[in-house]
Amino acid sequence: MGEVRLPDEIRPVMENGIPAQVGTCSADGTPNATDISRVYYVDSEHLALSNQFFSKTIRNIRENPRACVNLNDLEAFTCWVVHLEFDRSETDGPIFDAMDMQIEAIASMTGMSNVFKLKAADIYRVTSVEKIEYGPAS
Amino acid sequence: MIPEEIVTFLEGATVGFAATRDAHLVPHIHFVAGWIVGDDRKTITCFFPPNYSKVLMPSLQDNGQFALTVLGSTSGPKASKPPRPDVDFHECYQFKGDYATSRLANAADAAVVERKGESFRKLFVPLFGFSEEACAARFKKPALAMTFPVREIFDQTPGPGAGRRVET
Repeated sequence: MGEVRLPDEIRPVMENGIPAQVGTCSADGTPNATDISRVYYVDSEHLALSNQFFSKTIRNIRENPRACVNLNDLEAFTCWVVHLEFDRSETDGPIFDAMDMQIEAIASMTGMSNVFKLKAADIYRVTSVEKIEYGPAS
Repeated sequence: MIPEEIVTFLEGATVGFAATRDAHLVPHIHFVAGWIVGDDRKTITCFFPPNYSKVLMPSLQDNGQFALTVLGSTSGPKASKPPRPDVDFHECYQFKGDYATSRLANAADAAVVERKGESFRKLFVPLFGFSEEACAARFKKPALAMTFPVREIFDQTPGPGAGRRVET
């Protein structure tokens, strides 16, 4: 199977400030749905999710590395559905530092400065990406 | 039984999404346009838009596993006094259970979704600057109503208590 690449048009959606939704599944088959303030572009084949107090999501990923992220572009009437597989976790380095800085900024804007704290940058490989349009005509 | 204060939260909440998983344990996320708690406070019925995911029903029919996450409320038990919409909308709960029934959505369901859309506009247009058209497109007349009995509730409000199981 060939590598899946993220289209360029998805990058602004990751940076639009709208929370994304993340789905995972435990080894016993129980799904979990949570929201996350941001998804981070690593390269055309990888995304990073912030590991903050994400306990159930992280436990599920350790058992079953598959995840699904929905990225919302409300003004374009579009949702991007991205399927992922966990690759690695980083607790320092440029990806971690960039995410840490951006999370602090988001926390400050949303009154959550004492709550949001980055534990790790979890890096995922993109396994599929689909653009769903739901505008007035669809 | 869903605690009364969580029922009040659900009535005021504006953002809903759900997770299912397929036979290969691949998770899928679904936008939920509206929801209503059953009279016995043991079930929740979710309303899905016309373009709901093709994997929703096959996943539910395969294994029944369903997780609904709801946030965007200023009427939850943790709401600030006086209310602070910019902070209060983070309150969040996840409801887990097994698929029970589904049917075509009807006019009463559409009215629930219309109210959710109006609440969403009131809360998030000032916070995020969404346009009226963008909000309206998200809360179209629903196509599918799906009911599940709630097995477990988890507090997912960001913070150290996230993940705590709520007594039912």
